[in-house]
Order: sequence, then structure tokens, then C-alpha cells
Amino acid sequence: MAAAAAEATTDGGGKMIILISADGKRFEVTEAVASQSQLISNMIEDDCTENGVRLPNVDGDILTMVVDYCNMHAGDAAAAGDTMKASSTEEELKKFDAELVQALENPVLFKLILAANFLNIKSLLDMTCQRVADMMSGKTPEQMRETFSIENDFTPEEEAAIRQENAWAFDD
Amino acid sequence: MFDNCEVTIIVSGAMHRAKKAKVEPSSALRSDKFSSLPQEIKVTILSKLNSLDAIRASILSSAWRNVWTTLPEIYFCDLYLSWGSSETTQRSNFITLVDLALLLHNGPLASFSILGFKRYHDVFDRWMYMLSRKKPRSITIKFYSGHNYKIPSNLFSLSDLEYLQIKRCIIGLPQEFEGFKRLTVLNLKYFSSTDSDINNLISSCPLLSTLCLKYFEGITCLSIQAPALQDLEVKGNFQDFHLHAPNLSNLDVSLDKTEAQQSVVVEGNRKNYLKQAMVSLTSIVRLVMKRCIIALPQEFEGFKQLFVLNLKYFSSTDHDINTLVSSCPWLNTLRLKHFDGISCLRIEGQVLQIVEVEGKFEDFHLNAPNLSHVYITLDKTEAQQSVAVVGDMKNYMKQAFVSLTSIEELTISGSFLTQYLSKGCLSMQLPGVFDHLKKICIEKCFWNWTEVLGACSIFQNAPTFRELEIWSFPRPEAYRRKTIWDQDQTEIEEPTLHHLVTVAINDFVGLNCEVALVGLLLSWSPALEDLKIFRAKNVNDEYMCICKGLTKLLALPRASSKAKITVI
Repeated sequence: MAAAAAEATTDGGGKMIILISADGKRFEVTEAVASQSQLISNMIEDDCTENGVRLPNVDGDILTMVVDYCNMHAGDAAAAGDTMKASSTEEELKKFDAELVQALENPVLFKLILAANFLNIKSLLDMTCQRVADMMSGKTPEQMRETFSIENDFTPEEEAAIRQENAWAFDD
Repeated sequence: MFDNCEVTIIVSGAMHRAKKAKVEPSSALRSDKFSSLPQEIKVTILSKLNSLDAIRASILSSAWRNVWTTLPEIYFCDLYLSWGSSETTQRSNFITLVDLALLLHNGPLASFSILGFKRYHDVFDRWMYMLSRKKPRSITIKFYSGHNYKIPSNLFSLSDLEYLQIKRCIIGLPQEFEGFKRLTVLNLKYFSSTDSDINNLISSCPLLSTLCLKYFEGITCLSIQAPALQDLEVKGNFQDFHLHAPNLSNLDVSLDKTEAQQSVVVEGNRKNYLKQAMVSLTSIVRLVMKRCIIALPQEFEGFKQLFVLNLKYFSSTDHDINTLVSSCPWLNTLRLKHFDGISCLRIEGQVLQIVEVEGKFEDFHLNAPNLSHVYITLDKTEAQQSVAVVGDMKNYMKQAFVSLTSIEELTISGSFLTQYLSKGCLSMQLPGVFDHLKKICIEKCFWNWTEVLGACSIFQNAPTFRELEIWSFPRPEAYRRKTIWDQDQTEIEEPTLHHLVTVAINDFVGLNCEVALVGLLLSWSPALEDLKIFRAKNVNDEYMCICKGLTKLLALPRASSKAKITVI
């Protein structure tokens, strides 16, 4: 059955690909949308997508976001033959991206980073890492720890030693 | 069925990344998800921070301890280090930062950038020594104060360098210099060197494709031999220029403006200057030159691929400039500004779309059937010139404009209207000239009746224009006038502007003549929807009569019931 679905084509003639999340949710996307992931693009080249692509370390919730992102950005990558909505304007994309990352709680943001890394979607990885960098920028180490619930595994002595070494950098 | 697919992921060579990433989730289950992000992601995150924040992250947890030392790109700027008590502390903190980073950095360093607003002459050699041991492919060094930094010889031994950008330096080649065999971009600003050093440096970079040399001293004859060069930008003070770059597509040459004297030297040398250079530019697409003499060599065969030609502050002759323009079959954009030596400007171009001319000339012929944007204005210093032109006036604009059948946007100056259009052409019909004109801009409008007459003659020949923009520039006498307009009281044949929808009047001060013109436009434009008036800024209070002006203006009758007036 999955095979039959995977054979389906869009009006534009683009092949459809089925993505399956860790918790078994299925997403049907065009080849143009899916191949923004370098991982899937390589699989398409190697002809191993007929039975659907199982993504054992991406949850359905996260994959929903990734698919939304890829649908939105499919325009810049491959406009030809795509019956999806015509390529969005740059402004719309920027707005969409900003809203996407800003709404995320940290644990979800980290999961999205991991998914972008695993699927190898460079623009999404850059955007999510940039979000983290923006949240770190200008903060003291204590504030950074608090923001991201970082467990300080240094002993007080170790931490004092590191601060001593780089005193100039921590001298607020 | 799905198990099958998973097997594929693991065996396929192309799936290398998948295998690696699959290992991660087990560690990501720990409570501190941030610290357990894969190392490559930590690097990506830190690479988006400035170097100070990146180093501070080393104290977050043991997982972050040494991440910054593996960043492939490091970027320092002493503006980020504005903390600390005194200037001296800030400077010494920055020095420690750069020292430590160069010392502790571990693994390959692809790119190094440093921006310094303070002075670091005493430590510069040390930094360059440490840096050259890291063998980066890209180096950017920009200093904003103090005398030029002598580039030490070890930097010239970096044979893998691909990108080099230095601001404020002294370039002297070491004897053993073997060239940068892989350098593709060289960008030097505010530097000093010698003819032989700079010319050798350039000719020993066989892959050089982008070269920028700006604000230099010590160079009299710049000789650029670069077979792969595509983009060249030169701005500075030199006396002679030789160029051999058959693949050049983009050339921007400009003499430093401080060197007014220098042009004299060049003048004597006029025949050779740039002449030789021009012959070799067979692939040129975009040519920009400022403060130069355009003299064509006999063997000049035209620029067969030239798309954009911008010349500013140049001198030439009628023959040279006209030949130059007409021997570029693909010329799309032509800008000629502030020139001398040209009396009859003849512009012919089948594919020309944009023409901007600003300067003094006596006659003007334009044959460019595909023109869509035109900007013509006279040099403002040349008020006397109009006299010479008057005799020739009848044929003048007519001939020029007859070819402009597809023009969509026209920008002209007020003085142009006064001197060229109003008297000579007013009575003349220019049939079908502006059939496609959509937008008219009138710059430096002096508010004379003659200008209104001139504008009218264009309006009458532009049956479909929709948009009018006026930039005001009232002369002092306009403020003192008792009557609305100047002496000229030639009767006007009132046009009806059926399609005019938008009017913008800039720098409005509220003079009677301004109000009167708005009145005319309102009464001529039955389709007007939007009239925007932008009030002038920075005008002496004694001249300001905006309130009075606006009160009168709002009372004016409007031919269009939809006309909305907005004052901004």
C-alpha cells in the first residue's frame, strides 16, 4: 500500500515521497520539497525511497515543522514543475522563518536543530543555530546556563581555575 | 518493509551522515540537552557568535570547554571588547584575546579576520607569525588608525592562501617570494608599495580573479598583468596605467579626487593614458571610470560585450566619445556626467535602455528606440551656455526626442526646461514622442513661468503619463517677487492630463508660485487621486510661508472629485 502511494505523482509530474517519523506519522511531499534535505536527495539519487523514508530519530511533531519549512522554501530550490504554491516572496519567507524559530521552547529548538542536522538541511540548521547564538550573545556564562538549563559539571575549583586563566574574558 | 529501508540507510555510502547522526540520540536523552548537542553543531553555534562570547562559552560545562578552539573561522574586532575600565585595559585585553586564540586554536583554521580600531603595531609581527603557522586559506586584516602596518615576510610564504584583504599596510615583497599560486581575491586599501612590488605581486597570482586597489601611495605606474582577472577596481593616485587582462568583465577606475594637480600631468600624457589599456579589454561588460581622459587608440575595435558604461569627470572629444558609444553593440546603460571637450553629443544605441547625461554640451542627438529611462540635466554652473544653444534650438530637442518612442520614465531639470524646451519647442508638436511615458520627474524646479511652459509642452505630448514628481529649488528672487510668476507672461494652452493619478511635490515652502502651480495641476487633472506635498526641511524661517500656502492650496478647485491632498 505504501508502495502504491509512493508511486503517486503530482499534476506537475514530480514524484511524491513518503516520510515516516519515529512515531509512525506519514508525510507525503514532492521530490522538490524533500530534496532540500541533502540526506533524502542522496537517497533519491540512490533509488531507495520507494517504500517510504523512515526517519527513526525525528518525532512526528518535529517532522511536521520540517515539512512545513521545506514546503515554504521549495520555491527557491526548485520552482519548475512544482504545482505547490508558487515561490513565496522573500519577505514572506523571512517572516515565516522568524515566526517559526521564535515561537519555539528550547527543548523543541534543540530537537529541530538535531533534525536539521540529521536530514542535512543547511538553511534550517543555520537558522536554528543562529537563533541559539542570538540567545547566547552578550550574556554572562551564568545567564547562558540559566537560559539553556545547562548543567555545570565543573567543580568550584575547576571553574575558578578556568576563570583565572581567562580572567580578561570574564571580567564584566 | 520499513526495516529494509533502514538497512539501506546504514549500508549506503551516501548515507554517511545518517549513520553518524544515529549515534547521537542516546546521549541527547540526558538532562542537559544543550551540552549534549553534537560537537559539529556546537561549532556551528559558536561560529555565529563574536569571539569573546564564543570563548566565554568555555566555562558553561565540560562539554563546551574546548569547542571554541576548533572553530574553523575566527573573527576578532576590538569594538566588542568595550568592557573594562580604561582604553589601555581594553587594548591589552584584546591583545590577550588574539594571542590566546592563535596559541590555543586546535585543528585547521580556514579563515582569520581581525578588525582593529586601536593601534597594535607592537604586537602585529607576533600575530602574523602565529597566524602563518596556522596556514589559513582566507585572511582579512583591517586597521582603522595609526600608520601603515608592514606586512612581515612570513605572510608571503602562505602558499595555500585564496583570499587576502588588508587595510592600512605596507607591501614589500621578500626576495624569496614565490607567488600566491591559489589566490583568487586580493583587496588592498590604504597601502603603500612600489611599482615593482605591487606589479610583481599581482603577476605572481595566476588565478587572481578579483582585484581591488584603493588609496595607495608610492605607485606611479600601475601595470596589471592578470590573465584570469574578472573584476578590477582601482582608486588612487597614479600617473600611468597598463592593463593586460583579457578576461576582465568589470572595470572601475578612478583617480583620487585630492589629486587635482595630477590631472595636469596626465593631460600632457593624454595620448597614452588608458589608451593602451582599452585595447586589451575584449571581454569587458561593465566599465566605470572617473577623472580620466577618454581617448581612443586607432586600433580600437569597440567593446563587443559592454553592457554598462559610466563615465564621470572626464574629458574627451566629440569624435572619441561618439565612436566609443556607437561601437558597443550591447550597451544597455550609459551614464555621462561632468565632462569637458564635448560640444555635440551623439548617442546611438539600438538596445540602450537607460541614459543619464549631466554636463555641458551644445548639441545633443539621441537615437535609441528602446530607451525606457532618461535623465538629462545641464551642469548648473553653465548658465551662460544657454545663449550659445538658443540659435540651434529649433531642431535640438525635437531630433533628440523623436527616437524616444518607448520611453517610460523621464527625468529632467528645471533649467533644461527653461533653456531648451520652453522657447524653442513650445509651439512645436512632437508627434507620438512620449506615447509610453508613465512617469515624469522634474528636478531643481526654479518656479519660473518658462518652466511651466516647458513642462506643458512635454505634458501635451505624453498622452498617457500617470505620475509626476517635482523637486523644488526656488531661487532667492522667487521669495521676493510681488507677482506670482516672473516677467514672462506667454499664454499657455491649457492641457488636460487625462491619466495623471499621482503627483508628488517635494521641498514645498509655500510660495505663491508653488500654490499657483498646484492650482494648475489640480484644474488640469480630472483623474487625479493623490497629491502629496512634502514640506521643505532646513529652510530659514523667514522664508517659510507654509501655513499661508497650505491654506490657499486647500481652497483650490479640483477637476477630479477623487483628488486627495496629503501634506507630509
